[in-house]
Amino acid sequence: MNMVFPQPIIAVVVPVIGAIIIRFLDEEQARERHMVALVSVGIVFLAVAGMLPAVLAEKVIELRMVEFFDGLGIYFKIDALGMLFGLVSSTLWVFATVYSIGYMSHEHGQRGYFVFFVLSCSAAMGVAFAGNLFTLYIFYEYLAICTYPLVVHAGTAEASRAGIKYISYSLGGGALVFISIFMIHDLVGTLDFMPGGILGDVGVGSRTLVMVIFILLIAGFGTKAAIMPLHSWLPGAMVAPTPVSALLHAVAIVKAGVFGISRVFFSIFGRELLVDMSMITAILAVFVCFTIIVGSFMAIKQTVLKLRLAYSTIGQLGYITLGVLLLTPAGVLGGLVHIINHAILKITLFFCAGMIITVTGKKNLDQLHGVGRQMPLTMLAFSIGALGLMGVMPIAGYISKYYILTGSLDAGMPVFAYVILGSTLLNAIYYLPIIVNAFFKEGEFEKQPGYEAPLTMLVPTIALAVAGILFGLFANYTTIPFIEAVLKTIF
Amino acid sequence: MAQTDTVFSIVPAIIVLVPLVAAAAVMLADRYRPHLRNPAVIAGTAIPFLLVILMYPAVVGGEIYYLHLNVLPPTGMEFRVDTLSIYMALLFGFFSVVLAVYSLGYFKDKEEGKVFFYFLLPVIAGALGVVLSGNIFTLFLFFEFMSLMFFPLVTYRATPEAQSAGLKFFFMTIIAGVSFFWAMVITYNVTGDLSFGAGGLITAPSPLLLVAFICYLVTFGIKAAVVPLHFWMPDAYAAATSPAAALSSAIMLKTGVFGLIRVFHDIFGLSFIAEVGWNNILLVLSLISILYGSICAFAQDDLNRRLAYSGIAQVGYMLLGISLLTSQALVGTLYHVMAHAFMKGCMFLCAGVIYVNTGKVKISEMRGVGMQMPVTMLAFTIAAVSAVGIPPFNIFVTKWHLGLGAFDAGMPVIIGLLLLSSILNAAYYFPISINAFLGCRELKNIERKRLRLQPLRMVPVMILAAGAFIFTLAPVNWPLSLVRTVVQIFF
Repeated sequence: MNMVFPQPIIAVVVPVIGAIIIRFLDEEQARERHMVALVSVGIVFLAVAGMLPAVLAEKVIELRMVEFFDGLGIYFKIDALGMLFGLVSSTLWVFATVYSIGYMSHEHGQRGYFVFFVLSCSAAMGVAFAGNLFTLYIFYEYLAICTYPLVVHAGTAEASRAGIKYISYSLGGGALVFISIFMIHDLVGTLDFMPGGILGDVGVGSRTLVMVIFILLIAGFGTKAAIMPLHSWLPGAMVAPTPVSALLHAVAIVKAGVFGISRVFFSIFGRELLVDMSMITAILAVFVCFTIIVGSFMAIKQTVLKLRLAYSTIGQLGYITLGVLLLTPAGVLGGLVHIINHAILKITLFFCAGMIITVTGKKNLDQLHGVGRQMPLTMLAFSIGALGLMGVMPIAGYISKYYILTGSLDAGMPVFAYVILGSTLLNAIYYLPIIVNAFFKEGEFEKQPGYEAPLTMLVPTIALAVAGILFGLFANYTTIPFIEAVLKTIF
Repeated sequence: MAQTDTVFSIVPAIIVLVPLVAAAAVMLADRYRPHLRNPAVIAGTAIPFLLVILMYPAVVGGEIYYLHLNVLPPTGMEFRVDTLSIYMALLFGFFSVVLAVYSLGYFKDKEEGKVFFYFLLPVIAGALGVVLSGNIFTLFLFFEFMSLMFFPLVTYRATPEAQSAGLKFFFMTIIAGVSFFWAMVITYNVTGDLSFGAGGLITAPSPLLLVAFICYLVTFGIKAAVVPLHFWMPDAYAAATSPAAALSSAIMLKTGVFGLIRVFHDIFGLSFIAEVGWNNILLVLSLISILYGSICAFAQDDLNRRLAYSGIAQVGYMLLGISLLTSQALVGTLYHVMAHAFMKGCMFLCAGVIYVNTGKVKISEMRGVGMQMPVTMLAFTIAAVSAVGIPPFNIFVTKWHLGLGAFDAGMPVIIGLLLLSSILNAAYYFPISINAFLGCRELKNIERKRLRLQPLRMVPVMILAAGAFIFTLAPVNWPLSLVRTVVQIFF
């Protein structure tokens, strides 16, 4: 049953209005600026959350905005998969906004920062709720463009170099998607996402063309999902302020990439077609496994905390893609649930890194010996995030791992399980020394109880760390039923 | 199979929860009401012990306490108390009270010992959780939790050796966790069930199940320090404080043995294992452990290290009893769990008393120490005599049953090995006692003044020393009869 809801428009338009208001406030009006930013992302969150019951009741919410010609147009359709990305992003946007208020209070150019920070929320919602490939493409590019000023916010030469790399990778990936739009439209005459895929009925004769489309789309979205060798923009973009790194580079942008891949898989190609084309998915799986292992190894080499987290993200995104690639119910469940779990845990880690920078000004790992004595709560949250990503029970990360491993057994390919297990050990190698050194090594930090980051930063971080544990313990009541609703549309 | 009645009860969950609540209470007491700290520590260990005692009559009478909570997907958290659980829980409860009292005496300075108790109590909670759990998934949760909480106790002294030992321990924990996780995923994938009590879930062998079996061996082998997975242990014991080493030896190590019993009898099933002969892997490893541990113990001058290597040999006995697959041998194993805890616990506590009073850790420095601390060294000597297996003492009972078991299994050669190991035990323990009491004759300026006894330290030492012979001299050997009841579950 299809229903008309105004919420998708609210979610996309309110941040734009908010951004405009912020633009016309004075640089000095900090309080008003924060209020507007918080209210607009808060409204987005409420609008998205308000659609949750309808989506879980298997209703499809659609909204055809404008149609230019030939079926190309802005078209919103909210199914469970879009809801997954929309809800995760909008929730974490609220946390990140609160955190930004604390983090940015000593930085320059706060107005510009908040304008684009709020604006990108609108783009992310557009990506989540896109009902056809054209809309997805438009908002995907929009997201890249309005996050560019955030990446180069520092204004240094290094930042502008990273910014150029970032924008060229993003637009390049977008261009590949754009080419594939032509080809798909030419082949089947529609771009609307369908639960079983739209390319499934194409004859065997055009199989080569379908494969080319597959490669184009995967390369296009794979850029954002940081599949090697298309990953190098991500570590570079770590010059951005930490809340931006946290939100955009652990959550919204990279997840837009894996979300795009899942969308293409299940709404454009359809599961049956992909099972038929097992050769090309196997090749992709090899790339992804390579990404997981090499990303983890490169993380070990990093000496700057944020860069280590960035490379860890590359590996973890590989888990998501791998899970989805397995095309078994358990594997897809594991991959999709990792979108949520990784988002919560990785944003916690980034928030901790940001608090350490704010309080101590230190970025390199060898300067962080003994930091746990000064900032025990921060490092406790960090430990929860790190252990969670390693898959220690009962923190949420183990659930994703469990389902991906099961999925690989179901698919009869335990080799993927060994990739995941091996990368878990690598995770341990790069996370554990941070924790051990922070708590047990003598450094230049004094035991100063109560000397932590400001509450606007500490509270969101602790709340997310606690959420990481709760989503592990009570996954039966939260994440898993939600992802199962997504699976119903796929299998 | 005498047991039939299953009773729903939340007592097992409460037993696990009490030490955790107590740990929080200790933290609060340290901050606001320092005089309430010691009572909180004692209550946190004594209440679970009392609750276990309260369950004891009903469980031995044939009831099974059971609780299932629908958290932690995929199987949920399950508690199940059968006679094996109650036996282990009684031991753990008892030793945790003894060790808590001793620790209160060991750390004279309140500030120095403050953080120790924050982690001691959670380790105890984890160990109790391991033995009370009703499926391998819950067991895994508590097993990991216990190991992670033990890690700060290894690095407690914050010396460089302690840090490297701690890091080693941490990595071994993660490796154990990863292999356990994989084994569990395979088991669940093959059988669809992970609960205990069915007498074996697996019916047909497959290469994947062999992988799972080896992974289980690795997991519990690391914790039980079986050769070649033992190398973390001597470093950890040498670096850790004595109560921590005693805790590990008397309680944590036993969870590894317990886990293997569950894997052999509840996951794979006796008849399955006997059919495929996988127990021979463990048999070979345990024999190597017995010889290797005994021989290495000679070479150690650090008392804690010598005790650690001796512990490797002692664990070899327990694993030998499991791998022989006869009921007499399992009686030997379970009896040794108790006997070894008394014996080795006593020795570690003595080592701690010597260290606190004289600062000595090297055996070569301990000449004449018996003149200063006759009671301590007497207790040490009793434990040493017990370790050798001279008749009225506990370990004779162990070796008797292991010998019988080996005979039943058709491997009388092993009896010779047990005798050899006894001789080695005598050869590396007796010189310590002899030097301590008689070595002073060679020295001129020995301190002959006796040191004052401190009840909080000495009472636990004396209780554990008495445990080496009290049961065998009593009219009914109560642990032995209990162990014989326990073994009926499986044979």
